Amino acid sequence: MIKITKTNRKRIVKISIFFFAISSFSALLIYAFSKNMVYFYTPTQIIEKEAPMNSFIRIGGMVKENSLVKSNDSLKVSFKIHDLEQVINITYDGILPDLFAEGQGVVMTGTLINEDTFIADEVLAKHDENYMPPEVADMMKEKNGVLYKK
Amino acid sequence: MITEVGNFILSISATLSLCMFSVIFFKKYVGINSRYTFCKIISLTISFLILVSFILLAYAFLTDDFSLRYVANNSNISLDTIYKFSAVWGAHEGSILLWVLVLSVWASCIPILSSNMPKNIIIDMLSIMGILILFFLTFILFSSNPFDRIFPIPLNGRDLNPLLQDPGLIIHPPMLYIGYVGTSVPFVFAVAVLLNGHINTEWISWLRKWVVTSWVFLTIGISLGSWWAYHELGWGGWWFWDPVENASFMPWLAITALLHSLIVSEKRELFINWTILLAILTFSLSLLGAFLVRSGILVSVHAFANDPERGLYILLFLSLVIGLSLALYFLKSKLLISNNQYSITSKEFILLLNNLFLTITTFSILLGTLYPLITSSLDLGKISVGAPYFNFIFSALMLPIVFLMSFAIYSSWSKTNYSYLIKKLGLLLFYSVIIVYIYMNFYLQSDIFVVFLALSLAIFTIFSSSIKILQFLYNSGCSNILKSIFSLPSSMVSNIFAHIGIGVLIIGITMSNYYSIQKEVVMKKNSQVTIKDTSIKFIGVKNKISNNYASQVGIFDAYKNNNYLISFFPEKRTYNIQKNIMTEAAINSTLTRDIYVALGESLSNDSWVVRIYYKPYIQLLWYGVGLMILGGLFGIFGRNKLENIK
Repeated sequence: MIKITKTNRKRIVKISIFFFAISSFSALLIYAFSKNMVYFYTPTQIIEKEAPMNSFIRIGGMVKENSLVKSNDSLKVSFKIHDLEQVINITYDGILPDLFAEGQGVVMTGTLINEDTFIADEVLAKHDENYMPPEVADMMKEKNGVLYKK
Repeated sequence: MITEVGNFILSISATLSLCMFSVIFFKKYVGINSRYTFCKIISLTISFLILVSFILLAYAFLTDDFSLRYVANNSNISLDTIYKFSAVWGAHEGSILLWVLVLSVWASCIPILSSNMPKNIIIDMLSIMGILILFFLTFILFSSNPFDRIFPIPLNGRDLNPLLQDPGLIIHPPMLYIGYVGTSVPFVFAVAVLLNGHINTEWISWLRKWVVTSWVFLTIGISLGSWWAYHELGWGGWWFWDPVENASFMPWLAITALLHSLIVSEKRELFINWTILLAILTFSLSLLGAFLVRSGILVSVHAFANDPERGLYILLFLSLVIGLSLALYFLKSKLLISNNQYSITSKEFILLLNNLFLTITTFSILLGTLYPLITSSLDLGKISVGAPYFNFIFSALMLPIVFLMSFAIYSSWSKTNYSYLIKKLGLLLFYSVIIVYIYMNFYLQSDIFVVFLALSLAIFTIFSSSIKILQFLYNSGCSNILKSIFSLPSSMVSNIFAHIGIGVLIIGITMSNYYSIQKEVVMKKNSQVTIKDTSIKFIGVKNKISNNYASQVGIFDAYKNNNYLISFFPEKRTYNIQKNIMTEAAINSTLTRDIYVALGESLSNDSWVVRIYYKPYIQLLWYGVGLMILGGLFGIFGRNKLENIK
């Protein structure tokens, strides 16, 4: 049997404090991490029902030409985005970024309320004329590739 | 001409830094004094040469020499002179040159400020510095050369990114770099100590000043960036948990931990191995930051380079540095004698907890920053980790640290009389809780628990720190108050200021986060919006033409109780060359609140979307940071002990 001396007891206290601290933080970390991961979906994935309804996601695409409708007396806007294949309707209540424009890439966070309508909480557009949101750039590259193959 | 001279100077510096590195191999053949003198002269020469090349580049910018590709891409004839100068570090190539300039200056300061350090340690530190400088110089020469030519020579340049044309951004990069690169000093110290297998507390106290200096610059740099985002981005936010911000924040957390573990190592010869490891990790995090920002993995205003080759080069260097130094650590750290006895009722134990919390915080931020990048590069799906993750984790881990702060200040080394401590601090904590409870219930009329917790801890920290210093003044027994203030040991003043700063900072963050009012409204000419106790009237919009942009300036008059208070002139600028639209917010600050007005878009000629924020106590954020910096400055320049009192 191991005799629990004073030094041993102290060591046990120290080790258990650290163990307790580290394990509770890991639990905290995993909880917070899994709750706040936001997945990115393309319009095609949404139409194919790969994206979950009513949960917080990111989507991106190009703003469709002539699709932007503004309200006269409020900040409500609606527009469509596409990825060369599918189109999703977006509604947003807020100020659009300075560099938001039709025909440009855009990324949004928000929730999907039905198969093809998305309510955006936040709209991000590019920083300068050359910049395209990375997700959209990748997506368009893929889609273009598919188109060429056809 | 500038191209040839610039390249020549950089190549010479690269050769010299290789020479400085090779000194490490001549230990047995050359006497210590000549090696020392050699390193000292070489390091000074390198920093002088790199400074010359930096001045050359600045000269090219100021004289609009568009034969250099870098100048042509980042400047313009009509750019203001001050921005022509700051454009030197406004994009990738120049900022790496600034980086290596700062690195070489830090290196040449080591022998100048070596005081009582043994020469062999200084020589080893400089040799390691040599290889670091060599890496960055070859990086510049082979993949990011600011002296590259462009042909045909354009008549005018493509202008500096308009986002960077802001006073806050003139000094933000240099400050940040001085801080970032400053972490190389503890790193080379750690490597030199491991190579020699010996350390003593005098060296640690010498190193501490370097670390504090680098901490001060890093703090200034990060807060300037934050201040810039608040003024320039037009969203009223000052921290976004953007990967690039995290890249600067992780070294800050690590160096803050290092600062505290150095104190324990110096005073108690404890945790020396941990301190050395932390020094290595801090520098690795700095390099990781450089990699994230410069590799083009991230797309943001900070990431100019989209060249994967550059990223690969930095990644290679990063893994080499981390790999080799960690290998050295595991081979040699056993040689360092470290006291391992400490009691859980001691100051060192609380500082150990501080290090534990700060390290875990750093790790959590690292996870949230890197995880999306890893899944995306492995094609496992595109994920982003939202700000709520960082906010939650950060506050959950910071509150215990803040709680422990007061205990650290009052406890003593080795063993503390806890019953006395708990009686004293318990009373203070009780008062703080009561004050915050009364304030929130009767004044704010709010019952958010997190706010209650954060404010109580902040007030507790401010109280306990202030009382500590008052007590010291009272006990010093000097009849003259001024004399007793000057007799305070600087280590104490610096610690108290920094911790009060944290308290003030927390109040600013909490109040402005939870009680901001924001309105996004459509305003017609002469219409009014009331926010809190101020009503803001939209007068109209006028056009303004400036050198390199045209802008629409909104005019707003603010009234409080029907008395005219102030006018706001927020701008919407369109820059001529890059056709960027920029929002310049107009902000009126007092101690208790900021009112922030920014123009959105125009719906018709006299109707605009306007963004108005009321942010209570956000100024305390900057004051808090100011106090922390002041604390750091006391730590650098203050007297160590009570030596000069008469």
